[in-house]
Amino acid sequence: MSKEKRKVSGGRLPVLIMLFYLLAFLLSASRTGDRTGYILAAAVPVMILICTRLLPRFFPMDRLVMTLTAFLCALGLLLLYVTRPAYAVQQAIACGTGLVLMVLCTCFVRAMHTGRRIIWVIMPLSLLLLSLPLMLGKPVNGALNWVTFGSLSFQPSELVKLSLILVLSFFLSRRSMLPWLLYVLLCLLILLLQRDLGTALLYFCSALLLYWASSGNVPVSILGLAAGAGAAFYGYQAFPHVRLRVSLWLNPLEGGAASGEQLLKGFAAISEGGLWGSGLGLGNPTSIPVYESDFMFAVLCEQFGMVFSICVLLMYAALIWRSMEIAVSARRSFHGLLSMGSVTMIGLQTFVIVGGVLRLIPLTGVPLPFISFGGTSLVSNLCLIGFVQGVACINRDNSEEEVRLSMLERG
Amino acid sequence: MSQELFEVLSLASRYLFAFLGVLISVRVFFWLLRDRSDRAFRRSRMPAAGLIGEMIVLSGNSELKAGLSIPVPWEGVLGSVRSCDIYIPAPQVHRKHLSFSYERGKGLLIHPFSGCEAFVNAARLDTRSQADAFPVMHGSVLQVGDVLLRLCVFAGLDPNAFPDQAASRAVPNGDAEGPDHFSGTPAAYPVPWPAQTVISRERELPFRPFAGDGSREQVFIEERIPSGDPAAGFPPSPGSPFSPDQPVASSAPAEMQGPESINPVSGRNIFGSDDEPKSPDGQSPAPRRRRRSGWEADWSE
Repeated sequence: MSKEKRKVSGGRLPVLIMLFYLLAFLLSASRTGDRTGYILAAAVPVMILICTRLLPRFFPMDRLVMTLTAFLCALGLLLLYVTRPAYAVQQAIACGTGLVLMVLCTCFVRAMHTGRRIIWVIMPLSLLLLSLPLMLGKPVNGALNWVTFGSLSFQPSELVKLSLILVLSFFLSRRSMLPWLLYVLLCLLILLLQRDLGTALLYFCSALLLYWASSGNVPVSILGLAAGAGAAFYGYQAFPHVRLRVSLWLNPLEGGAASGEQLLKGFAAISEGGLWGSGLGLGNPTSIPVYESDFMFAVLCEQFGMVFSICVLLMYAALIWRSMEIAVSARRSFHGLLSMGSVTMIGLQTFVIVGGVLRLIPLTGVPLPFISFGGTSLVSNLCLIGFVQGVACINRDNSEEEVRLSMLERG
Repeated sequence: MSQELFEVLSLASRYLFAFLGVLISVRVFFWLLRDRSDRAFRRSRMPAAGLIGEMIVLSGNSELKAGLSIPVPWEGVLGSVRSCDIYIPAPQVHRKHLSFSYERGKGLLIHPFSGCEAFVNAARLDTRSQADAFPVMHGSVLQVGDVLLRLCVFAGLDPNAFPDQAASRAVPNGDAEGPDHFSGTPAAYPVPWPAQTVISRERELPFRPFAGDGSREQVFIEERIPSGDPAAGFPPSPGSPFSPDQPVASSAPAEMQGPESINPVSGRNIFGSDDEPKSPDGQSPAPRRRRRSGWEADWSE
């Protein structure tokens, strides 16, 4: 394919995405004549244009990763606008904040090199941040993982994800076992005290996968997996809500309709959507309890149908694939592990929540990346993408250097 | 808009949105596959991409012949298992013997694993040693077990190795990742052992490595220096002992004459051509003085 043809075909994808969201928001806004919808119909395509065209001009970012991220963020805005417009406004503000922080994270990774001293500052600060809910937080749905300062509330565990990936990448690249192991154990202990078992599962699986990727040590990795299974068994014995979720996973009707209401209504919504969906703005997605954070995938299936939902899952797969390619292309193991850890966290989160909604695994209360309502989650996931983009920028710089070296002439 | 009209539009747009979704995902995967093929194309045109240089085996064993060239990445592990970045099959080399990383301005930093040791220009390194104190620079000799390796760094990365050289062309404008950027055959990375006339001589290493029993032993190696090697002075001036028209002879014992080795990075025979010119009477010429470059001068006896 010629260079010109490539540029044209590479340029059509953002146009398609912008067209999709323009039509979707206009259709949704025309139902009520709400001004917010028309503003979003203009702002979302502009946001996609900025992410796919403007930002790559200033930073040698990976355009495909930016395109996919923009698509998923905009999809979350659309679904929230269709179900509850007030949430869409909050999510849009969080999205804007997240994009700014994503750029900052990209610059941070480019400037950090191997991040020696800053890691030792990040570790204690992040542990302090993670333990804030134990001191200041209030229980929400049985878990003590939220901190409220006036009107602002956030989940520290979502932000500490970033430091976890940085710490793991740093110490694993240097083959130091003890510091990262202690750090992860402390994080898991704090999360267990908060009863935030979903996030603890994500932290544990990410650490185990990164360790296996960096060392290739299969026996120790299997040992770690066995330790995780043991911890899961202990959690099943010790926490009643874990036993309830496992029993609902096995039989959603057990304990009466009220216990498994969320799961049953999620199934009903997915079946209502069928292959093509019930129609944007039609159906009854708001009947699912806590749909905006836990069951956005079910809302997606109901509104757009299974065909479109499978396409969205393929977008997540493409994002993971591309980020893994960026990780493999990195010169330094620190950068490779950083990229791989970031996308592993996103991929695990997606699998856990989609698997829970589809009853592949017991349901856990983690949000669907980029789509579910939740400012802290959206910001932290965008920062993880910022890490990936930082590594992509470094790879691009290295690639240009290699081209320069290959043209070096002697004498 | 009336509710009925909205319902009609919404129901009709289901198929449009599904079609757009499928189209977008198909384009995404075509983009992925196209970039993958672009990367494979770029890798084929720059086989030394991702490497900082080569390690030449000065003294090896039956599995690792002298003269073999091993490509060196920016970071990795050296050990006796094939999954290591630098594979050294030797009895004294552990499965994962040491890790290394190249730092600009410093050289190749060596970090031996626990219970392992290495020697950089006869200086001993173990787990507790400071890697910065004993970097492996261009021309340095690294000893792991009984194997001696000499590092050759690509010129553009180590300005001290080839001070007279500089990048002659900047990266052209435009998309550096497009295939049009690679029109024509790009110049390969500078190969430390170009396929030219080879001068062969026997020399004793200026340091004595440790033998298996803890004593130090004398090691004689056959040094086959191409006349174009910057270490010998490049380009050779007419009439110099290393110009191609001068007679050469091999003085190394027959058992030390290693077989031809193909540079796995450049695909060239690192010992040059087979038809090496020899002296008319078959006798080895008298030892000649030759110009030494900076790093060799440090080793002058």
